[in-house]
Amino acid sequence: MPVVAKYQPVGRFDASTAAQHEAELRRLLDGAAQSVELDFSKIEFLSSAGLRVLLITASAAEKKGGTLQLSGARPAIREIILTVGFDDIVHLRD
Amino acid sequence: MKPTTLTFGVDDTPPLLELASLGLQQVLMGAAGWVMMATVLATLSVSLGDTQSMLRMGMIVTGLGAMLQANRRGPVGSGYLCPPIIAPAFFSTTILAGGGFGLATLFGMTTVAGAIEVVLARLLPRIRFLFPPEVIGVVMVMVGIAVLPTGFPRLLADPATLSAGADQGRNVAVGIVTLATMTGCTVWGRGLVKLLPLLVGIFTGVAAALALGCVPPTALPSILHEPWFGWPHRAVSGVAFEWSLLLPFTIACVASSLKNIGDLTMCQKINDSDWKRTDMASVSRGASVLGIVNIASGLLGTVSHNASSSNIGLAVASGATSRSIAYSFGALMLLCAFLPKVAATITALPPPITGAAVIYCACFMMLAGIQLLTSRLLDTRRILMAGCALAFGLSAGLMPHLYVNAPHFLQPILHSPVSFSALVALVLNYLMQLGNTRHTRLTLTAGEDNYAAVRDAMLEFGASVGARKEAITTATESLHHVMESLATGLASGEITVDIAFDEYHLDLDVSYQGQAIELVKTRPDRDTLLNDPTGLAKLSGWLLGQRADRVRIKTDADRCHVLLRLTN
Repeated sequence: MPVVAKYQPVGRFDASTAAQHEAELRRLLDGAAQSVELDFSKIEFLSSAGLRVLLITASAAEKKGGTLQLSGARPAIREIILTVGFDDIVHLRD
Repeated sequence: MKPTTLTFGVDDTPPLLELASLGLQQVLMGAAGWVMMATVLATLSVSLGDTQSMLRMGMIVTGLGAMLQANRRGPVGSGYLCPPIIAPAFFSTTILAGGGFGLATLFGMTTVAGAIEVVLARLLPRIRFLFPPEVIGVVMVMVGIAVLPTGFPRLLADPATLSAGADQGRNVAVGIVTLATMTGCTVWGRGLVKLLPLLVGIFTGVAAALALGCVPPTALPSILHEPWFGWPHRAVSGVAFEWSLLLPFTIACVASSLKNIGDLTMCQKINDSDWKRTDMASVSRGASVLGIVNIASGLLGTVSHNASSSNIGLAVASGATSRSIAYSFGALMLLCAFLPKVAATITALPPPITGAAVIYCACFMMLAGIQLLTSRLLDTRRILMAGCALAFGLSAGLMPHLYVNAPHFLQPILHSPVSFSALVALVLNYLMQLGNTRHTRLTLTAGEDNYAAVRDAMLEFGASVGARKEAITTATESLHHVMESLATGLASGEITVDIAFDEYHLDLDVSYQGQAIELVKTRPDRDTLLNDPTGLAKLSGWLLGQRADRVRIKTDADRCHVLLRLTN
């Protein structure tokens, strides 16, 4: 069974918070976790900087044989992820 | 785009059996209106023979009017299923003209009223600015509420609606069974049952009425007394004009036209899941038909009509708004006009059954209005406008005695909660917008966190101009994307954002000193995003183009501009 780490960011997932989220997600994947489950239910805005963090995290998880899963995103944020075409690297769940 | 809740949208043609059944269902919905018309005529001491003649002429007008309304080519016809029905807005003028001057004058003034309505209808596109969505929303809510006084006394078997000696408890049971059947068919029904909730409900209600002995004793003799076939004829010959009635009839025309705008807007909204605002050209063509219907009403010898809110509510409830239904409805109405026995059967439906039908449809009408009203961001001005309009309209319905001493010429408006509400909404909307600008400027500083300032300013501006929530959300996100791009070192010093709104569009002009944003046509690939230092800026530039309807970059002497346009 792959080890899955859970992470719930709050507020914005943009340039102002990207470094903090990136560091936290890297710490999780540097540990025992192979996959990360992101709970986006409390995220109100996702920008290009945030999208880049998702890409970096998904790539790191892939290298460990895991995945990046994302749940609870509100429709506008799901739409951005789909528009950018990141749904093939981020596993979107309801 | 056709909403997924509709089985047969406006452009669909149902199979023949469904088409005939849906037409019949719409005909039965009109039964409450005919009973109402007979009640008004009874107050004028019109003879039974003349009442029957006026009812059958009304059926011809209604049938032809529904067909003409479904037409979408040429100068008249909205292209929707929106049948006309006897107009409550004209009740007081009908009593005034018919009671004081006789039927010939009533018919003459009805013809004049129709002509006035046609003129008003042609003016509508020019006064479109008076009818923003929140005003129309108020009217639509009131259109639903206004039919409740017709429906509830029947549904709950008010003794005034029953024949002498009828058991109120049993009649209430008939009404509840009818309403429960209609609701059950809509929620859990499949196929034809889901499509014809009213028809199934009425048949179940009739069965319950027969079982419980709630069919009025006069019903069967009145049906048997009528012949199978008969040519409809005019109640009295000639038309007459009365100058003193011109003002009250004109005001009734304004009241009726306001209600028609609400009803025709509802037709547009229920047929388009992407609906954003009233298409006033289509409303104008539809309102013209209702004016023509009233010209015909006067000439053929019947009372005034306007759009039937109940029939529109039924179309929503059954998920069948096809304009083809207007033709089957029209054909059946014409048939009823020539088959007195059939018409008598429909008008003899027990009151709790017609009451249940009216209440069932009112549910859909009220909620459509509330949805429209809440689709816009509302600031204090708009909340007060909508709130006062609803409050005054409801006061006219709940406490009509408060208005009995109002000037006589205002009575047609005060008599109708819908018209009163619409008038208050119109006037307040106009007054509240005085001094309210439709553009604003936001000043930000490069390098600072402007997120909250942008979000709050956009919400405040959206509410002040009554923009759609979705449009403001998208505009705010687009601005955040621009700010994030500029924060990568492209801008320095002061950033100004000029925001303008014109109901159709939201235009943003972000101006700053520094380097222009690069708009990218293709999304940067994974490798660029992970390894190229410019990858993030490229993704921002690409994303900007995806969110807004139009993006332009402009540079002048010393400033760069990002020009965004979003559809409201």
